[in-house]
Amino acid sequence: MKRRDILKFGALSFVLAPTFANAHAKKHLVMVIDLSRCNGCKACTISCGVENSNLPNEHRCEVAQLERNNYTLNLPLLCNQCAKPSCVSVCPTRATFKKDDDGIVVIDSSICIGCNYCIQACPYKGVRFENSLTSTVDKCNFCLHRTSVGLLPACVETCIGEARVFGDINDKQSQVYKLLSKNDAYVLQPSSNTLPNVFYIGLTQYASQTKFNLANNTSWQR
Amino acid sequence: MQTHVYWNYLVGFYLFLAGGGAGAIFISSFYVLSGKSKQKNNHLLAKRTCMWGLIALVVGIFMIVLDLSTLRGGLAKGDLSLIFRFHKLFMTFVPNSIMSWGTWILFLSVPLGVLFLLTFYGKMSKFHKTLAQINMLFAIFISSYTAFLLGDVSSNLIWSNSSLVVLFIASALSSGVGIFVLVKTFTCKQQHLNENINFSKIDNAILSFEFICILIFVYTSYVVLSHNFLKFSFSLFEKSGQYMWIGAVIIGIILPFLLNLCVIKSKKTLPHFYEILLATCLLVGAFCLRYSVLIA
Repeated sequence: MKRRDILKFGALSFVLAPTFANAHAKKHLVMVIDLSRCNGCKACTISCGVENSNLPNEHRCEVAQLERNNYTLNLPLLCNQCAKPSCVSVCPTRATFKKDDDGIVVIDSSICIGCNYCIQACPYKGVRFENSLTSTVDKCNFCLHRTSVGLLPACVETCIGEARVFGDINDKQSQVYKLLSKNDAYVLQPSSNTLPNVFYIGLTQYASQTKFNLANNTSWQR
Repeated sequence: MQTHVYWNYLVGFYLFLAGGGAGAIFISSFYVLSGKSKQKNNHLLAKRTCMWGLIALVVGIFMIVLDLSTLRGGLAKGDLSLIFRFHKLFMTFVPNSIMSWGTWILFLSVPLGVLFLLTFYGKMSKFHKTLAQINMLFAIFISSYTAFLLGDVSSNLIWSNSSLVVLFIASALSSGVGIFVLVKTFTCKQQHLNENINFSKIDNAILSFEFICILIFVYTSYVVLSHNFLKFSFSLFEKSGQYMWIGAVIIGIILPFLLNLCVIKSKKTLPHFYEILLATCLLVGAFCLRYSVLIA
């Protein structure tokens, strides 16, 4: 190879390297929920149940309705797909794991023994449940079967107020990236230090510190 | 609306039986290592205490397996693959998971306990003391593991209290004493007064230590909970508080302490009924302590 060819190759690599690097960059899937757009219709809960074939009283996502001084706050709750999930490290069979390529926390129901240790370890009570059909622990996985083929999670697809936005935060053109860079967003219980990947716009700092329990909140639907 | 799944009484029994079994095996090993088991009476006592400790461990393991939702679901659906799903626990070792460590410790402790028991029958007697040492070590591991299992749940401010480890070890020892007293009552027809008085003194020392541990644990829990604006779980108005103060403290510590004091002051051996009552109180107290912490 001539010296000129080597220089050409080097220059070309320098230009194309970021492009290839981006092509292989890991995704970082997050959900952003704009609370000002959520009217508590629970279409997300219904569509999630239908999409994932869960029983009517077993939900991967729910909308807690919390009474405030002079208004009701509709707070959609689901698995936070934490960056530092406390459920993964405690699992004695490695049934709960974090996917390397997009960061989604998944439960392999063919390995899960149903010891419920992950339910105890999760600081967000009520987002996991015992699935009566599989007899294992179940939770939201951002509709893995849909997102892996480029579709949106069922709850995002159905949200009539477009309160839920889903995407790759590493992609600067994505809607989630733009939303999070323009708005103040909070996660639930930041003190738990699990680094959640579900962000809320319109949540006050005080409310973000509150330990919401999905199981304890009253529901007027379904 | 789904309800949050809490660990129930089956896990409570598991924690209690694992602790009690470990405590009993610890006492049996202590009898062997201190040379007390050379006396014929004590040899029988150490052997039977080890046997009942092992039974408690095995029943405890059965309880935790019974709590698995796959087993319950499998039994309801008649699905064998779900019923025997628990074998995956013994096919994997996950260094980050306390439950995985505990599973393997318990899994190894049963055959080691059986080997130790066999040495009492004259088999492999040259390993008698070595197995006693190994079993003593495993007894400490098991009794502390039950606390580490809860302590790993950092989102629960009561469980992640580090003083729980010391408390559970003390409680395991006192429930081991409970098993030992029961075995003693039904095994030894002739009881030596001096030995009984010494034993009561040791038991009272353990109970006093356990009481101090409970006070430290409850106080530190109170401080942490109030700092986080959370409800104090060990008040008498709460279920866990009632289990703690009535079950663990009054029945599990104060009553046995007074019964032991009767032996020490009167210098007389307790009638069998009171000995059984003493052992029952110790065991009920140990269960209430663990259940109280579990539901807190």
